[in-house]
Amino acid sequence: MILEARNVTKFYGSFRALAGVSLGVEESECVSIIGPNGAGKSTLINVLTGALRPTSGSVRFKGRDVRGIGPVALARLGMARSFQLVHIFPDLTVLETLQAAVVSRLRRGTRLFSALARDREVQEGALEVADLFRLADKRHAVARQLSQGDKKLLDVASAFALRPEIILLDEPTSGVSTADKTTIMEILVTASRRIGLRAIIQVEHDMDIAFGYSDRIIALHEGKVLADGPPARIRADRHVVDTVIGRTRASGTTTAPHPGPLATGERG
Amino acid sequence: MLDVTTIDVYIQASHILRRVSLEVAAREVVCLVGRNGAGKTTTLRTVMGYLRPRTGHIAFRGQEIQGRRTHEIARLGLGFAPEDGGIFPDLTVAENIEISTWTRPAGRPAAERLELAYRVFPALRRHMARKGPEMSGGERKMLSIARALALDADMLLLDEPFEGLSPAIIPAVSEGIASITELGHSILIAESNIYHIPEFAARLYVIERGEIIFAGRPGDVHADRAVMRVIGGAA
Repeated sequence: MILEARNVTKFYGSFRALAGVSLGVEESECVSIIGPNGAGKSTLINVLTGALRPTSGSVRFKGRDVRGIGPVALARLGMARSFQLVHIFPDLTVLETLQAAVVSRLRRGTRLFSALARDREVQEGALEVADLFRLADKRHAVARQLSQGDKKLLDVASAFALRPEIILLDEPTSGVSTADKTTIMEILVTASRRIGLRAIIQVEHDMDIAFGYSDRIIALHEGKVLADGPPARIRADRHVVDTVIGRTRASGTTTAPHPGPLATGERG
Repeated sequence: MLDVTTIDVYIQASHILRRVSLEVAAREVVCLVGRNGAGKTTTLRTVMGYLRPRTGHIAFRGQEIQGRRTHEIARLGLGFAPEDGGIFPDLTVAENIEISTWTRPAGRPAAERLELAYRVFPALRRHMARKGPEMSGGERKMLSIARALALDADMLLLDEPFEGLSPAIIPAVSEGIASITELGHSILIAESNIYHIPEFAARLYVIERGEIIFAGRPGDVHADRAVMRVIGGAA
């Protein structure tokens, strides 16, 4: 078990956002968290990534207690995330944004490098990620002038540039047009295999994406786990269909299943 | 009600909209569909007076409005809900919605307008006393659309109203929003997700690289393979 939460509760004042959530993520799994608005999905991601300290319960990453340790410490341990609403530096170029991520990853080993070698590593690392995320031809564009889809890609690319072992993506395709959603997911799968990612956890409202790209689905409702299982079983769960998926979308999906994005293919 | 006729819009040196024309009649729901960066938001912002077309005309109920200031256009009865709704985080849910009845006192009684907003988003009624930081991203989106509904505008421009909403509630939200057409109002929705287009939309325009490449009924667009490829609805 690479990431595990046990009986996690989180209160905001008197409002209980999470009510005893337990879940685990195994090596090579891609897990999607689905749920209606206000179910506690983003709160859960914030608790799992150490940005929020749970009111009670435990969160362990690679066996270590990571409750509330914050994003910097967690990134050093090998976990990165992206956000529901894009968090980018509006005035930096694509390349500068990725360089900033590479620099923060290399900081640990600064003393080992000569300045020249480190500059080269930063430059090459940033270009490699730009290339993986098909942003290379826009590398000199200023972030705020990118289209919504490219801003989203850049946000996710920055998380990948940290070379994490596991990544948590909060709605990676929200705000992205139908035509571009699959492209983003394909890029994510390729990039994940390339950097040897050990697990992906994503929050997703697009059911074609959630069901098409996950080994397992966890449905949240009112701060509790409503269902946890393989996509086929979740899709057949009447409670999940009523509260999360909706009748019309449950009956027909357009994307062929693409299970186990991390389980197949080579690592490198 | 709204007539946009062959407008060209530039942002700095970039030619963003190219001879864009569209019309929305009273009691109609019309959708403007396209990929990210195609020109949907620019079209809405131009109608609202944030941008000025270099050529072409925009008329609202027969009056030319291009070149007028945004607040004047809003006073004529056009309401706009931008993609990033920008709620007031220090105000409660109820106060955020009520603001519309203060900023636009004309129109139907405030109580009716608030009732409509809560009818479309019943989840908000349960959380009336909550403030911004206690709300999720999707709930904030609901709130920004509820606030737009409470404006009681003659015509609403909604930029990606369903983004971030759970698919289970989208059909109900979409029907709720469309119920304002029964009051004689009309709606123009900018949408990047082809599956969010309501079947009852009177007309659909597809925009790609700043040009309208399709105008017709929602049913007809599915038969047009080239257009469907552009907006992602078919292989």
